[in-house]
Amino acid sequence: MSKVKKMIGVFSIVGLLMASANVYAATATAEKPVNSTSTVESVSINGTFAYATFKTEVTGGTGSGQGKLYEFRFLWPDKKLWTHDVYYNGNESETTSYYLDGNEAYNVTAWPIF
Amino acid sequence: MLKVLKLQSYIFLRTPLWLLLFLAILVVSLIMPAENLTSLEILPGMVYFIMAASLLLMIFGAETARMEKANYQTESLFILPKYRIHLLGKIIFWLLLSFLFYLLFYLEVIVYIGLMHGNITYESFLASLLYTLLCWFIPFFLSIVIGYLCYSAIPSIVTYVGIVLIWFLIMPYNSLTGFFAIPVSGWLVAGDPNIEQIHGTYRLEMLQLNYGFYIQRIAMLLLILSIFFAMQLKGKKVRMVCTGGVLVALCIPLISPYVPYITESENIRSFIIDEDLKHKDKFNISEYNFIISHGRSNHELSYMVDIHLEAEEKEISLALLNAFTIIEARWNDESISFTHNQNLLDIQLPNNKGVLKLQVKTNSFVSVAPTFFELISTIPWYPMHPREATDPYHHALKEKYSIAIENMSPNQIYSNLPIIDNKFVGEAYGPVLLLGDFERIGAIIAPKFKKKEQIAVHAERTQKIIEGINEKLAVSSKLPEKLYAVSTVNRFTSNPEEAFLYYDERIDQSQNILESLYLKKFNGFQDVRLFLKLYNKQLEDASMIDMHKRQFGEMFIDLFLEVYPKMEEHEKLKLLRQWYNETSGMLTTERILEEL
Repeated sequence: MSKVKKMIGVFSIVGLLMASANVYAATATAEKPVNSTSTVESVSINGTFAYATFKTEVTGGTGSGQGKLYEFRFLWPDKKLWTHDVYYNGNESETTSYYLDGNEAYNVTAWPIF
Repeated sequence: MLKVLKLQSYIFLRTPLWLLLFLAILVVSLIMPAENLTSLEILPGMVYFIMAASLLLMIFGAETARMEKANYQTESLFILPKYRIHLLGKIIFWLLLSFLFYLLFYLEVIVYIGLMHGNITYESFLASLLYTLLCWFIPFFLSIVIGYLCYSAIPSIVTYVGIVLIWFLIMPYNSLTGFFAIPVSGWLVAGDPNIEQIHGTYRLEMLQLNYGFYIQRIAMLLLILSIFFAMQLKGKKVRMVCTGGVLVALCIPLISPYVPYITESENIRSFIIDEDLKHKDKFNISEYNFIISHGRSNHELSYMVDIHLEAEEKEISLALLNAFTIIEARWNDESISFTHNQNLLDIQLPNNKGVLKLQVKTNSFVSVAPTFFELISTIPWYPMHPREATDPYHHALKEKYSIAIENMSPNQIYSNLPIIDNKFVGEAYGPVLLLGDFERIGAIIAPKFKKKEQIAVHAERTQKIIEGINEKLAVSSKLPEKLYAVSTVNRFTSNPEEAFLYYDERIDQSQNILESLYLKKFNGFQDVRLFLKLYNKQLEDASMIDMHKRQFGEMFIDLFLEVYPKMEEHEKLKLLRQWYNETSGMLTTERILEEL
């Protein structure tokens, strides 16, 4: 019984966190809720020589998590640019404005913290 | 010995396929990442190509063993009197082969960077040479030996699957994927286990070799070579020595004072006081005397501090990040009890005036790494007055400082305090101590990896942000005179004399600058949250209504949305300026409702 409860707890937290990257003045908009099968490259956007917002928020219920913004280069380790820590009771949402170099691609990931 | 080396060379050259494969990987490793090869600082980023080359060398080792088995070579040689010399010769041949391969790999990269970008200095050459010797050459050599050992132990096609598994475990892939926790993978990985960290928060650790790297390589070489000789030689003595070697190698990670890895640490956020301090902030600090010791391993740092203070009440609260642990607290040489929760150190003093002596250590503070630290005056890494910690600009306090750094020349450190008798001594709003590759670039002390142009852009953007806020709030604030760019504190912070910019100029710091330089806080961010929402026009945002109702109350938001959105822009701006002048940002819902 206790095992079942634990599982429900885990998945409810997983479904609550969302990291998104919306690019101003550009066509690219990417948004992906976290789920249990999310991979590192959960969202990819191309640089546009413009400022973009990187936003992480807990969308409901209770829970906490991390959103990360990476610069992505082919055959090169991802470069972590920014981390958001969000939690329901206090810091529900974080937004960072970031200049996207036109030659680079970016990934956004969101992970729940248990 | 020379004969053995000659023989091994003939055997190697007899199969030109290996030569072709080695050359192919050298060519691919230069062509594919060519656009990233801009300076020697980027060499750790070559990790995927180094891993591919290591896998090839492992297979080469296994194939060598397979050939020997097929030709019954080991059995024939084993009975010869000079078998041991032959064995040693084989090891030396692999050492030379992997070194030659490494040398070609390294040379092609630096020649390419030198020709295309020409930004190679003696310092960067030396750093990259040492780094690649440990993180490229040694893994290459070990790969051959491991491949050979695997096939010698289990001569089967299945062994190649095992080789791939071992390759994964001892390559940086292990730490990159987080397959094992970093304290385990850090010791298993023969290359650089901190690839993710050095491409994120710890840019200053790029190309730096910490003591743990050397210890890990020694342990791994001892382990692999002990297993090799145990498998290849017979005799009780040999077995005993080799078993001893294996045991020592396995014990090294358990007893080593230095670790090769860097664990992930929490970002430093705004300092917030969650509890009612009552009168626990009624005290003054006049002087600090530090003895600081840098552990040169992961986030290790410890210090002893004497704090001269006078309190109105016997119960006081000092701001100190939870990442720090108090080992001992004494008041006028008498042991006292304390509690350390939610970044606050609560102490019951026996009397009102004296010296508080604290022994403090950390192994998780984000601004301490194996080869550098960034201890800045606006962050409570040391026991600080709690109001100063919440708002170091508006509640700034000057104290006297005397700081000794153990086992290190103070000349290695950038500080805001002058050096007198090998100590940092003087008055300041807090000490600034920067160890690592920093230099003065224009008006800013910044990490050396930053280019002059990037720093110029940074200064210009920061100035523009300040001009923009000044215009909007109709004030005339200025940046403090002393500027530092730091890599581990990712938000703008400031006191009246010093400002700390995050090194990456591409991050928009306007909110942090507004919060730090313009808005007065008493308990922390929550004091100015309402003003910030108004300043950013977020309170009118329909998508955030639910969150705002939870934060500021349903009634307030309903009333606010009834009136405020209908106002003209110039009226809103007038109100914003008025509220700022009256409250310095510590705006309440009641104050807004009064005006609306």
